[in-house]
Amino acid sequence: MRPFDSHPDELISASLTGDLTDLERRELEAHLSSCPECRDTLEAFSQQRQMLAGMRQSPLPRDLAARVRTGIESRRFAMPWYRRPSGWLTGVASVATVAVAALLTVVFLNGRGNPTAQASASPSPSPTVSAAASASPSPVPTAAPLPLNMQAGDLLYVQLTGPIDDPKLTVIEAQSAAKVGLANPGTGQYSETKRAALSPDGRALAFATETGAKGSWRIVVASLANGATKQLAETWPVAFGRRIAWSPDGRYLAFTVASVEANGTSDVWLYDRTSGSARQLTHAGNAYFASWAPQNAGNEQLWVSLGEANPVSQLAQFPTAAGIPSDDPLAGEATTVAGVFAPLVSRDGQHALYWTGTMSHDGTNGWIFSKGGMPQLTPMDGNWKATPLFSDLTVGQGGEAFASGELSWADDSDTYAVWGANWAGTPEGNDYPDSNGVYVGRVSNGQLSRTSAPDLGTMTASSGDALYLVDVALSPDGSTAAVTLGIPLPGDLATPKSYLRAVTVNGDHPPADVGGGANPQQWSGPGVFVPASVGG
Amino acid sequence: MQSMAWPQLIGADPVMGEAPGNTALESRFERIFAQFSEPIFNYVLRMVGDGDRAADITQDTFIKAYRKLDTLADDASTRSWIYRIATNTAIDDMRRRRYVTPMGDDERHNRRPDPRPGPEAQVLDASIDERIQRALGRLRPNHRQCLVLSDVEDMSATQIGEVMGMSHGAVRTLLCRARGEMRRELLQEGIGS
Repeated sequence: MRPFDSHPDELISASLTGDLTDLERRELEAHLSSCPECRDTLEAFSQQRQMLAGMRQSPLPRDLAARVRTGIESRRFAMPWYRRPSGWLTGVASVATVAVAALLTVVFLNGRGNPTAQASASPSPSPTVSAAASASPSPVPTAAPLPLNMQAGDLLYVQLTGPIDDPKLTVIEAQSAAKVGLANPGTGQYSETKRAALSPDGRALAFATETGAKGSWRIVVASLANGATKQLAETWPVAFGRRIAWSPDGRYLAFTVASVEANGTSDVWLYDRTSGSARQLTHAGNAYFASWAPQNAGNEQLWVSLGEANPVSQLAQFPTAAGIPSDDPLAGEATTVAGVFAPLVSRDGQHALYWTGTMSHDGTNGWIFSKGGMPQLTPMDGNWKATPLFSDLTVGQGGEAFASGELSWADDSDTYAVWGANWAGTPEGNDYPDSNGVYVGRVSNGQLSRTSAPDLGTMTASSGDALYLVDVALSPDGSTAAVTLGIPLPGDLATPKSYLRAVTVNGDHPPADVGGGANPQQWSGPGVFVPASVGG
Repeated sequence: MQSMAWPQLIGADPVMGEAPGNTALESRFERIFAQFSEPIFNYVLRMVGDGDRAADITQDTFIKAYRKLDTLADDASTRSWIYRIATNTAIDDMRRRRYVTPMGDDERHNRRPDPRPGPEAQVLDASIDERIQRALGRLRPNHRQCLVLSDVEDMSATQIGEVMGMSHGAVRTLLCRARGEMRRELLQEGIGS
């Protein structure tokens, strides 16, 4: 190899886009192995490219199509503001624009097929159409527009694309296909995303993404306005340590951090959006985040469960305005309930789903049920009177039952789902309960049974491999489940792929694949539904 | 890529009437607008750093594209063709602005970063994007242009050459200089190493 006369910045730059000949690549690799300065340059250029690629994509101004149409018809180009007379907005062109906008309104009244669809129906911030807006006396300032054109009830999902050595995460609004690329916090590559939680104001998305071969998860929070991200923690995804949820007011995010080495400790952490920092809340070593309860007299309330042979749950409280407490709130006189594990409180605070049984510790899964593990439903009246969620599942003679499982509520506080069943007992018939099944019930409609599982559609990939259930999210009204179904990877270096499938709970419509279609080439999911609080 | 529907007028077009061939022209333009309107707007936004200006330039770009549609030889070259129109329109705009308003909006891009960004501002506000955009805004226009085409639009050096009218080798050299300049500007914004 010939030595370089100086640092080969041009080759380093070109290497970022693979724009090198084989000889150049070999020469550069040889040089990099002995030149720390050039390695720094490569790192800086790579980060720069990543940052630029992750910049927020802005939606097209809503009136632009109409403006182009008007310009074509009037043979007029846009007049820059610095050449625009003050009275121009009241002139013929603006009238024409408003007229076209009115026509568009008619055209698009059928629905919101894309961002343009709503565009003409509402005043635009652009100078041209502000003429139309100024016709109506509406000086009331409005809040910053919601990212991704989202509206309550819409489905958002995370998508992983790109080659295995350069993966990219994007958040997509399913209805309009508006999207924002997420920057990588820079502590490792993105991989399959397994959980996601949208803040009540619709502006921040927290998610858990795999770190790759290590198997741990990174907890990341992202701004949906600009794709900026911050990594909050790395955790081992133990069975009951996978919940991430925003507090009802959206200020705090709660999650469990289990030691990555899987040596058994776990504790609850909080992220505070106001301070921008995350901090460990509990110091028990066997604590799991269960759920938030409605605020009470200016206090945040969250349920924390302690993994023990006979598990308990405690209600941690701290003043909302004070930030994350430095003292362990469980160390004081927290409300403690014996025999209750991982209570998931409904949005209205009236009911909770939770687990009962005897637990033991497993190095990989953390605390799981060894005997009698069963999901229950209770009204939140302080009595914790348990009603088994399933009417047709019984604990075996040796205590065989669920080892673990996942629970979800819809925002209607009536519809719930049990999924990801890890059933240690004798199957009650063919594949029941099915680890890939989603059992959906309603508080108002009795217990679950084998017939409570909506059809998820084909569970086989085109490769013939069986799909596996990753995540389930229920729509706010409980009518639809967004189900993430992974496709087994043919090898470590293969691109992760998954289906994101919209499933109607009552079977009104056949399951529909969102994003990737029938033969996905990327990982889509998890899905999150925009809550009613958005825009409210 | 997110697309935006091209608005269909109701009834006969009062200006172009029902001229033969217009339907095919409209249809072709509709496809181009749907595919490229949002990417072009974002590209121009990176170039000029101001939403209203970007909207004006994007508007002019597509009006020009409509009028030049017969010069587009084949659909395969549409991307570089439309980016070239957008690039030239943006450069024209920047030149005019420099002449008309030497101390105009561009001045704000020369401000130094706020030394007191709160943690939340860094994470959940637009501050990172704003700082990157400020750094971009201080680059020479041709550096900014090739960097955005490469790293935001993910174009190859060959494609960038088609847009900018340069050879592959010249693009590689320009891109390297742009990255070096951007690295220094990002450092000014407290980003990078």
